[in-house]
Amino acid sequence: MTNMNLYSKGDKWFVRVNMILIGLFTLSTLYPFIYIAAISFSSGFAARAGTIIATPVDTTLAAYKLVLSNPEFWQSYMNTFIYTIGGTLMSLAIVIPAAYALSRRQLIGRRFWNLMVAFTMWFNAGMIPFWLNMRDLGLLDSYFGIIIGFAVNAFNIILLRNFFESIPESFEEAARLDGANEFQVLWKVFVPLSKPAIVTITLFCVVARWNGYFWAMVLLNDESKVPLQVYLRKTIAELSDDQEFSATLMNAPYSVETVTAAIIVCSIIPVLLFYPWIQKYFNKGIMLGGVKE
Amino acid sequence: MRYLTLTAAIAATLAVTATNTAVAGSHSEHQIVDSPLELKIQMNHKRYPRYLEDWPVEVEARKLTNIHLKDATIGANARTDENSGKTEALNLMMASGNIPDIVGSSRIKDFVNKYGPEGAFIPLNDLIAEHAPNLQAFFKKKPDVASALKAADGNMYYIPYLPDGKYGRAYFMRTDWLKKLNLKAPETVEELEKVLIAFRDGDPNANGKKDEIPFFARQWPELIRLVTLWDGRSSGSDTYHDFMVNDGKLEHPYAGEGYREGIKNLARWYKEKLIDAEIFTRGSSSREYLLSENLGGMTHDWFASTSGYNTSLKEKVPGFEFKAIAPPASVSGKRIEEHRRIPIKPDGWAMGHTNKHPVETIKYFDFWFSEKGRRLSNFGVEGTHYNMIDGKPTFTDAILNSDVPVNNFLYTIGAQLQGRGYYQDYRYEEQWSNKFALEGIALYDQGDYLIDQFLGVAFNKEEQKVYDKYWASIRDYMLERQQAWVLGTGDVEKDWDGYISQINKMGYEKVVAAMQSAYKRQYGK
Repeated sequence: MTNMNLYSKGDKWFVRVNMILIGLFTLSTLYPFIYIAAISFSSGFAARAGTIIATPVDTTLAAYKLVLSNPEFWQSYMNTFIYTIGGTLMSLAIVIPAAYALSRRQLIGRRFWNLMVAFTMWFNAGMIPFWLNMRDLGLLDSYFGIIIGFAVNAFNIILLRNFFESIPESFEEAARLDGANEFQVLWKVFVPLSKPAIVTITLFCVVARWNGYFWAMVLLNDESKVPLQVYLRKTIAELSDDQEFSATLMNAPYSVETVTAAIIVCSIIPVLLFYPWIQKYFNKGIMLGGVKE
Repeated sequence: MRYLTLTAAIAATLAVTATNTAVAGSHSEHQIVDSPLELKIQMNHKRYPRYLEDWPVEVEARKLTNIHLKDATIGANARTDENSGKTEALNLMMASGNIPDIVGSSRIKDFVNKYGPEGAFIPLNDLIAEHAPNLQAFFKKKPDVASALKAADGNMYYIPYLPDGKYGRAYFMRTDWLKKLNLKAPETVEELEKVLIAFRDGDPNANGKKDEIPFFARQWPELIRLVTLWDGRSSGSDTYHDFMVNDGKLEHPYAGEGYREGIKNLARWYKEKLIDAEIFTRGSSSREYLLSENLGGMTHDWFASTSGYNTSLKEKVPGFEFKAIAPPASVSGKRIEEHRRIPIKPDGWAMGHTNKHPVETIKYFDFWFSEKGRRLSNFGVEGTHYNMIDGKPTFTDAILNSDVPVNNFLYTIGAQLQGRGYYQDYRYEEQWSNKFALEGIALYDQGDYLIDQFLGVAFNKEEQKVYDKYWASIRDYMLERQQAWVLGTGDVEKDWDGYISQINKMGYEKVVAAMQSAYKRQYGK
């Protein structure tokens, strides 16, 4: 907590108003989470009637029972982990060396390569050609296809390249004088110095993979390989169909809203656990000491 | 490459098996080929992403016909959704260049009517005429359906899923409130107005507050539907704001005199608070909310789901009774229920141009329109899923009393698949419908309130161009004015002439002319 004695009277008011405003902002970002959680623990009827504000109405675990008892849910949950972890590792394995190479002056045709990488940020082939490409490479309907197919993101490469470029060359020279080869320079000098940037990119990859939905839907034919988001879409489609055209769900203790909310709650738990753990890296400055020039 | 050789291999096998194709085998009257014939199928729907060979219904069909379908679905997880209109799976199949022998999907109509004339699908007319007696008999009985299926080039490219059961939405009213206020179910629009006023003023929910909302609707176009009480129309089909046919002439309901009169009166009702003030914004939860809070008096909504509240709210709202009432007579004395289930859906199956066995395939399609095939597609396998009791297919008790809703169960055995062209049998639904819904349907059956629907047209390229160019903005303008008039920010009487000349300026007459020429070609009227 802030030590209020350090402030003058006017400043104290300023700090208080600030805190109230920040508190309100915090609440407004927190509220959607609370709301979804409240719906997931409510009865289907209450959810459909829209009477839930922040706490569960007619508390029930029916939605969770339905979700957690379905083996398809667990299978898709596991798939999401496979795509997220595998995809992120694959991305880092490609993006870090690529960014390093592009940041080095000694790279032949460096401008050209940089241009080619940046080019993909503005132009891409579109859905059907990409799908045909994946098909011809034999990457349809496979875990590996999803992992490798979306491993490289030009924006991430450029972000990391810029970061590498901002590291003074003296670091590299010093390492070389000590006899380090190219790989050691990257691994022992640049990567440790770039932790905040690499963590940022990791986060981008994880979030993109975790939420990735469209391509998984289009490229995977086998239902047992789809990630959680595709499963969620299927569940919503099926339940809302039931709700619209028949009375069969009318007396069920869950509804499409509560089941959807329950799946969402289950799917954000890992992200909630992951986020605070890496947050400390965001607070760190861009350059941590080093050489004075 | 490997895929291609595989396809070639299968095609070769098929060619060999096809040589002994003969009509009518010795085993069953439905047998199409002597030795099993394999055909590849793409089948995609939001409820079943691919074709499953072990669906009991399919196993039975295979036994009877000797046609063996093999799944070749591409883009299965895209799950073509009839509501969103997205057909990614079909697009992917098209792009991949692998159109299988049979393509079954929801939302297939526009797709085959576009690519069929370009050669991607086989026209079915001649095949049906020569090899499909059941389909032929069906189309003879329903010539309008046959016409509605045609693409702009006059050919038929798909066999649709044809829903059965006429009734969709109906007027529902708190009949317990009527009793409490000593009123009868309204017979005319004047009586309806009196009832709604009584709901507003008579405190039928007895909480001492004037908080009742006489008329509400989940979908606001259901409010516009009330213009039928003043001899107007809100739509010609089961889609909102659609064109209609009046004496063989295409026109849009929102350009008619009855509509003008109806909107004038609805605006008055709105002002007098007989209509939910939030009618345009309350949305899908309104029925749930207003009924469970004991506030809503009347609506226009689906039979099945709306009658369900009689059971689900029995304890929460004492005395609750929300029943269907007959449509009140309009100012000219007509009783009309404008909404009905559409008799033909844009879902079904078609024959890919690569199909080497069109005759066998059409016979297979025809099988599902035979008495046995139709029962199989509707009820499942006789003896396992249903039994004939007094000449009626009746589901087994295990199915009727299971925790799984009957329609969900049927999907899992391969019955009621809308990626298959078949004719639904309403009796399948009747057996597990709520008794209040059945009561209401009987009431509507007695009165014969339904009217004929506009089944749609297939445009040729020029007509499509006219439609695309003008219609969207005209429609937006119509809906914008409609809302303004109901909410009272405009006056329909004062604005009407300007409104009509504005839509004509925007190209309304050209759109109607395009519609008319397509209609004439399609229905020959």
